[in-house]
Amino acid sequence: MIKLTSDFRKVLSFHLGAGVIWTLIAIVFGLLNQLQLMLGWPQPDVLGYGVIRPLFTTSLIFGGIVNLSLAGSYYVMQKSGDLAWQPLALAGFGLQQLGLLLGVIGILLGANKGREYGEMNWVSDHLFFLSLVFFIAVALRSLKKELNAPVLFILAGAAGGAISFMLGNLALPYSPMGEVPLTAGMKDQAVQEFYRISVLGYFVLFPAFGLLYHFIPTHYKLPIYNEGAVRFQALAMLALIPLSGAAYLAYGAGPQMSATFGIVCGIALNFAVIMGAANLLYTVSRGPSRVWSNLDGSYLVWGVRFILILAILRAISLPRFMQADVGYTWWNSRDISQDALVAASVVFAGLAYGYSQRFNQKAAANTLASAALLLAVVGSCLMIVAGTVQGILGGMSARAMTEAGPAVTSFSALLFAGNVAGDTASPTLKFILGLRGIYFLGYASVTVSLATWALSMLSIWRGQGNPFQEADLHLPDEENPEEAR
Amino acid sequence: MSRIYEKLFSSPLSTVLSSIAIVIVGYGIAVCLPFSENISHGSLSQLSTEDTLVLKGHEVYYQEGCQYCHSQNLRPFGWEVSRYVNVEKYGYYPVPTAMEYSHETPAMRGSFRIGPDLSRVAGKQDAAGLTSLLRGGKEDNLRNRYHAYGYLFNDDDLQPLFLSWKIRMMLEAGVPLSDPYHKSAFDRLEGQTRGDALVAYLLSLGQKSMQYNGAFYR
Repeated sequence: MIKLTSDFRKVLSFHLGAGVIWTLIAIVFGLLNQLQLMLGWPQPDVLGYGVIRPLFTTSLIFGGIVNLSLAGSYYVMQKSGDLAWQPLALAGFGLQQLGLLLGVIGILLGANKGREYGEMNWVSDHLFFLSLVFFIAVALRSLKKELNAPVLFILAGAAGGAISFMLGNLALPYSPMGEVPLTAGMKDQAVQEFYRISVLGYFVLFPAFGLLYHFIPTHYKLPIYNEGAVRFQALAMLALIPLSGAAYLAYGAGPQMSATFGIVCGIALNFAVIMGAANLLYTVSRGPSRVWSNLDGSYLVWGVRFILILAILRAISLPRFMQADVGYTWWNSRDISQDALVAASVVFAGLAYGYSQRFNQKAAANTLASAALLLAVVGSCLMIVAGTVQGILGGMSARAMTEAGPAVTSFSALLFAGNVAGDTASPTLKFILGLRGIYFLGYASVTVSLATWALSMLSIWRGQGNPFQEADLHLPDEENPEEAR
Repeated sequence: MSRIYEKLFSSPLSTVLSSIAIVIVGYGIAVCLPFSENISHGSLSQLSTEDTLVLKGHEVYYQEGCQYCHSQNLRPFGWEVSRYVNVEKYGYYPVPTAMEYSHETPAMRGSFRIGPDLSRVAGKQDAAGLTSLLRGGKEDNLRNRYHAYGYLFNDDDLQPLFLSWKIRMMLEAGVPLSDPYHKSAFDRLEGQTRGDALVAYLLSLGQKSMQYNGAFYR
């Protein structure tokens, strides 16, 4: 067999670049969406709230995160074996970008397929699916040895993602951009719930864990604390993700036995994620100064912390009585774009720093990158706290009853639960002077952070800045704790 | 556990194949098994199928992204039913049933409540009220600011040919519609706007349940 080439720098750089561009597009759409809600300015038609929302989620997850994770995957696979079939990888990159571009244009033209996180038209779906198949083919051709944990996560995530993407978008086309799903009614709802959690699991969590399991031992010389748990985590997540979506059929018109089973699987899935995050944090705690001595290490630790916090929140909000209380209020565990924005973007931003700095041997401008991390951490914390508290207050207001009916009759009172502006204030003022305003502040902060991150990535590519230095593996506090004290 | 792990993930190819198999089995358990029995029994199945204008309205609903603010998943709690159903008028709690949605593809249960739940909007609003709401009122309140959809009532390009093809595909996918039904798309959509279609769809939400319960109590 002829090996076409083994230089994958081009593919990796293309995916990194595309990941940065799509993330920038996503944050512009996301911020616009939040402003529309806050100012009471949804302005339907071409750029209405309902049009921008899918543009934001599609650009963020399938554009930003998938591209950054594919860049990381090639980086990890290159370390594990000789990469082959670069033209196929390049073709996959091209198909993916074409699919995404067609999908975004289609949504702008009103061809929304109506499935959350699966709004792209059938042509885009086929192109995107094909790009995943190309990636798997390149991986199969390149990897011959027994798989290590990071590559296993990457490969299983890609295969699980590809098949769940196909199953979640099975449809019969009837026009250039229209299609009819193969399922209807509550069965179709079950497919949508399956698909939603699969997108989070296979496209976000699997590559994130895979890359983290590679990065921390390789660049910080900290062996994963419990290798056996990593294998168990991979198998548990792989099996539990497709079963967990049914949890969100609870209290609906769908089969409730299935919903209960989904809740149990969902809680187990979140425990697997918590276990993985705890394993990583404990690994890092055995040599904290190594990781904190480097910018991408700081990003990774914060990213893992956010994954842990969100998994705990998801596990807590899954049982039926919790779904009844906080489901559908502002803190909404069905909204996986929050996880993508809060946790995944921090992890993948850190990983992207890692590859770019090592490839270009240039360090990111320290002030700029540190400011970006600070903004991301503060923003994510604000979003999590304000969103959770607002969700709880909203749920409490929604279920408060008097003899005459609901105690809070106005829907906007539920929407703005936790505001201090008073009932007579304008909607915008209610939004700003409340928890929703704090949430928005966090959102804006994360947005500015990602924009700053993109700027510093640009400076790395342009070869600006100081020479890159690997993490300091021999810091005094680890060698001699007493000296450090 | 380690034996299973070693068998499933012994090589790159077996990892890919096992992952695909695990997801397919999971899909079967979560999606196919619970819905394997025929759910079209019962009186609701005797009600007429959806109007073609309603099917078009369903399309307008998700193309405009209404599902990003409104859920259609009324839950069986007193406080929720009281909020979204006109209980005084109808005197019962019509919690949605799977049968009501048998013609709906894709499903529109939604995952947000930035706006109220719409499962039973037919019992709360009439056509004039919904039209006025969607056109955006003159008052400056949240409800009007969020619903400036007046342009939908100027757009009369409902593409009946595509809708008839869509209905044909729905038939292929097993949605219980009859063949002559899709041919009526041209006549039914004549002179209608996208706004009219959306109103027709919204007025269908909860309608079947009310019809059935009305017939039952009579």
